[in-house]
Amino acid sequence: MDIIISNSSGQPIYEQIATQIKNLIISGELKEGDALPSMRLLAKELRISVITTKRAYEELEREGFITSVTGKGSFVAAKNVDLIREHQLREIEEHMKKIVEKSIACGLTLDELIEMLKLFYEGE
Amino acid sequence: MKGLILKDLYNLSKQYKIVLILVVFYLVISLTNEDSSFFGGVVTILMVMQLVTAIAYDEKSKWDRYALAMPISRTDLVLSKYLLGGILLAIAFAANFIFGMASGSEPVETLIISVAMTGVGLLFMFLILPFLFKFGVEKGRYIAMLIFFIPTGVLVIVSKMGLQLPDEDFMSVFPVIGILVLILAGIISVSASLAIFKKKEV
Amino acid sequence: MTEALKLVNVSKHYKDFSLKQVNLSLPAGCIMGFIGENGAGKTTTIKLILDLIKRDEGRIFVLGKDNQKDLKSVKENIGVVMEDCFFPENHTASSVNKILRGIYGTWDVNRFNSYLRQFSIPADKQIKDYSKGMKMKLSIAAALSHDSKLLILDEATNGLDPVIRDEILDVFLEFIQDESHSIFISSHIISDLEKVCDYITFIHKGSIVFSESKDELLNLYGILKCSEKDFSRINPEAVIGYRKSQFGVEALVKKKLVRGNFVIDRTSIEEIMLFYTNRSKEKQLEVRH
Repeated sequence: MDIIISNSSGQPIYEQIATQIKNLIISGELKEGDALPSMRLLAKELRISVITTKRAYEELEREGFITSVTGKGSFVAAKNVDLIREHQLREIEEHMKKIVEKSIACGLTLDELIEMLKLFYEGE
Repeated sequence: MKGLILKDLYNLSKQYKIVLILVVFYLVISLTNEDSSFFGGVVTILMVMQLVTAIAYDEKSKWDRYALAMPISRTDLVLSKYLLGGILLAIAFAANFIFGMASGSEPVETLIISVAMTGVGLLFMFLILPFLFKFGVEKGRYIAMLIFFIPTGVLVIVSKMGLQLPDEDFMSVFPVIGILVLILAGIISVSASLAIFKKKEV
Repeated sequence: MTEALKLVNVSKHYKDFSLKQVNLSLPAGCIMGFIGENGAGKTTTIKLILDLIKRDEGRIFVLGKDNQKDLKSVKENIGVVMEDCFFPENHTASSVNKILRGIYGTWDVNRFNSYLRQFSIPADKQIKDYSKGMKMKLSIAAALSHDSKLLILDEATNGLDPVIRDEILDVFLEFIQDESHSIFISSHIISDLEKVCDYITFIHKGSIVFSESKDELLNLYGILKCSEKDFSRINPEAVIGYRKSQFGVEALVKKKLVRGNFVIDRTSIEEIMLFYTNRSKEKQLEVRH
């Protein structure tokens, strides 16, 4: 499993880790029941503070992606289809927001935008 | 404490060549002058000086600071020096006695002289150790030299006495007084050293 | 025991320098970086922790035990590495092994030997012939070869090249894999600490300026760059310290207290320390004028 973090991106490191693990779970690369590396091992390998990895895991657990058992470690939780869909919807909304902002900035009308969207959607 | 003594003995063993040369040197002088007690006196002082050298090694490498971060108490550090001194003087005693016997003196006389020398050595050690703990080896050296003149004087007298057997009365009393003085000096010395070292900022 | 190290209102007074009301707490299983300029009081604090010098006020708990009552037994579980190597120079790694075996009840000869191999330290070379890096590695090997639960390091990586510092950092990270192990490391080479520390304590002129989780610090503070005119409009409470140049102002700010549309960059622990230190220098200058 690859986790790549960037010090120069504006995103806090714990968020980067959480997001990457989430994506691995959603894409199916990490399957239900798979064991995640321990927080300490992850911290050591990435050379970051253990508090950071702990926070990442806490967020993942809070959002239902993983479960932690004291003494045993953290494991990928059962794939919650609704959860994943919600996550993907949220991402689409983020992208949409950006598209709308840019469109307005360069004077694209809503109709022109919908036309472009149709092209892409039907093209797939 | 075992580790501490080992460390000191290891340090001192590195110097054994110099010590050996000195010992042989004084041996020769002693033999040529037919004065066996001279050798004894010198070996005793030499051993006490080795003790000072051991303390100097510690100071140079700031050992105390490191040692106190280990499961060693200040009491251990102080007592280990006394113990080391005891071991060194025991070696001096043995050297003294063997040399005396080898040069043909009477066993009893040799024994008495060896014991007396060792006793003086112990006294010297009891006198200088508190000063060394308080002032360190650099400054303590001057004080040690000052104090040196007292035991030297005593040793000279002792060696002179060794040539004529003292009378019975004196002989029976002297050891007792000697031992009492030593015990007293020892107690005072150890207490003083402990008190000094416990307060010391390392 | 939840705290590996705890200092409560610790003070120590010297003629020209005082350590004032030092409070810090290191939770077990974490690494705390102790930073400050030379002379700020780092070594004094560590000497107080080890009871090498006597404190004037306050209490100190090492691995849960009061350091003036139970320290000898606790020291079995402390590994200490200080800037100078304290083994007498004519000793060798093997003699050190024998000596420490006679001092520590939990000394592990095999572990020590394997560290010697890992660090490429020859067993019979005299310490006086060691390079500085080798001396440091020997001290670290010794600190890790008994049942250490708390490692205390005082400026242990000074004068070492980055390659060796990196090697040593790896060893520390391995040490901390065990949750009951903690590290307290003082240094003014902050780049080492910045990556892996969980907590940072900053001491300046004998007082603790802050003792926080590193992530919090990096979230709380940022570097703001703007014109002098814009700078005068910023809430002074938000500014920790600033640097004026001919072309603008650079300031360390508390991100949340800054209103308005300013560009605030991520900062580093080193910058935080620099701006805090400069700020007190400026205050001194103000007082004089």
